[in-house]
Amino acid sequence: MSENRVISFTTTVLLLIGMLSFILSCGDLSDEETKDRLRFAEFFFFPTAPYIDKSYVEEVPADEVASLEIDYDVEIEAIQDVYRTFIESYVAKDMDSLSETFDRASSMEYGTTTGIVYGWTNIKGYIQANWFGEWAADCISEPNWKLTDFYYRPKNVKYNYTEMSAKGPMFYYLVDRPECFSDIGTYYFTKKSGEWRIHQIDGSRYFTDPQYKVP
Amino acid sequence: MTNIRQQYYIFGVFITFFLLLPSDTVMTFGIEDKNLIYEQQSNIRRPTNILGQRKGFIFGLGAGVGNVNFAEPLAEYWGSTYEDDWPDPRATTSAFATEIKIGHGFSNHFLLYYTSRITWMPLSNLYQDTMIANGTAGVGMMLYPLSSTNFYLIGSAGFAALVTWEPPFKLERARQTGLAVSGGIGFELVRHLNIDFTVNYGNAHSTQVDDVSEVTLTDEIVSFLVTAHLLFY
Repeated sequence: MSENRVISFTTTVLLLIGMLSFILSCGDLSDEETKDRLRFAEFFFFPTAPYIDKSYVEEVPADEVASLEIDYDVEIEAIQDVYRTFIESYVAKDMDSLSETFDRASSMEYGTTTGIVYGWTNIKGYIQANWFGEWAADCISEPNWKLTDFYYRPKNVKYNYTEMSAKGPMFYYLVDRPECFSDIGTYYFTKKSGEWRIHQIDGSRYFTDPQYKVP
Repeated sequence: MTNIRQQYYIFGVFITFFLLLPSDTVMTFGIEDKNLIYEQQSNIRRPTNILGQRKGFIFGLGAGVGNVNFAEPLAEYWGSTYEDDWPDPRATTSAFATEIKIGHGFSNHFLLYYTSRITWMPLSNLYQDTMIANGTAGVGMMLYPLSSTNFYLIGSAGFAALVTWEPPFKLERARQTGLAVSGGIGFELVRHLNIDFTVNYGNAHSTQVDDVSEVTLTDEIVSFLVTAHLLFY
């Protein structure tokens, strides 16, 4: 190691120690003040600290959410339309139309009788296998199928888009023979760029928090 | 506290990595041989005007001023108590900036480093008086394209966060805002003293960085900064 590099490194270490000492040692400090200064030093050197240290990440107050004026009827009608298109496309085995009803971001989940399928590529493969594969089976819907039991969550700190949850009939397949049947599934919708789409069916993001229940 | 310690360990490993990088490509020769080679090479090289031999470990401290142009998401973050509509599509405020660089000069013309850049914005007299710090941590580079001048190009990319700062040390309401990038030009005025002009782009709304597909770059916060740097090498 050359002399210059030793000097440079030593200067760096001394400066860092000096800055940290200054931040942490001025005055008689309470625990709270020490915590504030440590947090400040942490942020100064690593501005991404809040990605790891979540202790002071902002929260949206519940009353802020409640105070927003939302036209629930319009939003419900919008997701009913998406659901209707999804069911019709599924029965018609129209993948182009079906894919338009999905928000295909990577956290997509799709429930089946044997477990959850993750990611659009896998989900598409699963659906096509059930439509055209060796164990393919036709599915039949009822004209009166609709979503019920709605929950609405506006944009928030965790997700920068509006979300809705609802329940409605969904197609499943028997494990031991090629047969399609329907049962009540849980749907999770996202609204991105003004468009509602299905992001998960029987997935982990389905929410039923009482404060988001649509009145 | 464990998180802080964990980050300092990573920081230590980072510095050690750059320190242990070979400082020269001619490692097998003794110092006398190297001097002879350099002497012979200098006879055939064109004269250059490089103020610093920047190869090896580098450490920089910077401070600057500039303007921050921001869109509605930042105003919402800052003035959470207001009820009216945001009056303008964008607004501008002046800001103070600080930066730390720690890295390695791979040659006298190319430096790669970890950068911690924070823009401190006093936001007052609109909805709510406060100070906001917009910090970015990531990878930066400086490229000196010409041997004959000390002009350089500078760029960085990393993840950013917004925090509300109550001076001197209290930080609150941190918000993860995702990707931020910056680019600019600079000049080495004298050995170890640089000045540069950079433009920085970033998001102001909360971004879900757990899901890489949803990380986007927007111009919700655009800062124009002139920064002076002490660069040790």
